[in-house]
Amino acid sequence: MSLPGPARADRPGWLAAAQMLLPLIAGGMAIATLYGAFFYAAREKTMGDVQRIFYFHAPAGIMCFLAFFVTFLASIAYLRTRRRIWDIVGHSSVEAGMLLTSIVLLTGPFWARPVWGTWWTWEARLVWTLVLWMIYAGYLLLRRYTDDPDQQARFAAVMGIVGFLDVPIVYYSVHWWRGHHPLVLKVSGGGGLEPTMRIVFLGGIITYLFLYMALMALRVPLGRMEDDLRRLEASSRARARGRRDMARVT
Amino acid sequence: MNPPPAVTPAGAAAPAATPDSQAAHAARADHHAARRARGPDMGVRAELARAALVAAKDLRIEMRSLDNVPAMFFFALLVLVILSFGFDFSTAKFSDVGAGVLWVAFVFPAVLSFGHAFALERDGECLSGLRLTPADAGTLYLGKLAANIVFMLAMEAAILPLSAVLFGYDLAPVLAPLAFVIAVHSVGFCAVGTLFGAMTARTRRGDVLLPILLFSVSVPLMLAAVRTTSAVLNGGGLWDGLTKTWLVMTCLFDLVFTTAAWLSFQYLLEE
Amino acid sequence: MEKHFPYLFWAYNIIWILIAGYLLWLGARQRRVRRDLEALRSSLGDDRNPDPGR
Repeated sequence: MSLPGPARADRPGWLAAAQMLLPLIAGGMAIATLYGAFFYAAREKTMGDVQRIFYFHAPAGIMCFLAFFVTFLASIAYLRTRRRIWDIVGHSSVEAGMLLTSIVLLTGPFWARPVWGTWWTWEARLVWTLVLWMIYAGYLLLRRYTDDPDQQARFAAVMGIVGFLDVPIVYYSVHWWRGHHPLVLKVSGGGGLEPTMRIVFLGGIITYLFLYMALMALRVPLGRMEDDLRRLEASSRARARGRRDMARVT
Repeated sequence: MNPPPAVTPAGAAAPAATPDSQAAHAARADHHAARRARGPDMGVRAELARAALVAAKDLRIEMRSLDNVPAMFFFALLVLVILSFGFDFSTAKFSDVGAGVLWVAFVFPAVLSFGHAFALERDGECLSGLRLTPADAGTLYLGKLAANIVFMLAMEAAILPLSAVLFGYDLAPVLAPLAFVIAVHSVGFCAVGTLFGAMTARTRRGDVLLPILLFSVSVPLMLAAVRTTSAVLNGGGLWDGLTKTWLVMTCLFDLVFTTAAWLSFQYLLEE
Repeated sequence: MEKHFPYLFWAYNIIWILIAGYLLWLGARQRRVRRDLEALRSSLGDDRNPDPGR
């Protein structure tokens, strides 16, 4: 790959299109879901309108799981092929996943407080999300504190694999720990979501899916640029050192 | 300062220490070819024997220097004392809160021990020496794991009777199931701890990073440990409903993470 | 209207704030990288020695 020129010029066409289209679709879906959440979905019987947080709270939880799965796959791919792009994809996906997990953790209490009277409860799903957040915060910290880039990529890949292997085990252990937790999601009537609610919930999932893809479309090329920069800086430093040594010798 | 590794390099070509991954790949291929050329040195038994050698080296160092286990023991004791300030054990029954207290006392010193295991190697450049041996990276992991397990169990064996004295509960009737529960969870904790210990030995603030990574990933293990220990302390059996489920999960955890760590250890040791 | 409106309001706002914050941070990083790349490119361009990055 030659020296990067003005960044916009050498983006492949499909990437430029994706970087414009995906956020637009995500934004459009968000508006549609927002409308649906407030004006289309039925009002929940016991919790009232506060329950409408659910349409942007729960889908984020599902999407963050997808993000970490992508990191899991990218980590394996990196260790096998040693191609930088997989390392960048893995890193980017963790950042996106952490954003989504943070959304879940921060919106949950706003739902819990009016409904259960407390900001936080050691309920299985919340604890699981918290542990997930901590595991991948560890991933990001590990990257930050490893100086050598090659080592960073390898360590992060191992962490990405080990962390994800842990996810189902944490899920089950936390649920057994808590016994039968109150069903947070199933709201109206006997159980299961009412049709209008189901549609809006689906809308929420699609919104977050496009949000995730948009974030990746923005973050991954940035990662490649930063990687190129680092490589260029290293080689220019090496060249400067070479010139200095030559000057000393001659 | 540190005695040289007990395993001598048997003429294997030293892997080139360049950052170029192609050279590293070539060197690894040379290394494997040299190993094959030496004849039937392979096979599970040979690898396990090499792992035992690595473990024996660490154990021998510990027996000569007594660096690790006594410190772990005193730290665990201190944790027990501090926690006993937090809970009022004149009114609270040990079998209610004791499981948590015990595991905190076991786990914090163990974290220090994991960091120590690889700091040792880094100080004397022993890691490069170890990499020169015919031992596989996975074998190195198993050896380190075995040593860590021995250290942790030794500390726990000393602390447990002491805790019975300090907190006034009857250890004898629950000793066998309790020992089993403690052992099986310690193995899992060491499995993850040895992996992360190796990783964080080479990072900045590794001493802080290790507990962060370790405790996050070990959450299921900790939950199982406390739940099963509590059940056993309260006189429950190992095969009672939920305890059995927890133990099955722990065994699964131990298996999955030991395997994952064994497979990925080679990626940690590359230069 | 709804007596729990403040909770609803802030929950949704948190989402926008987090997303917007992350996007702004990405933008700042991108500007910094482009700036550094330009600087490096011009200094390397003086040497007439383009360096293939891959």
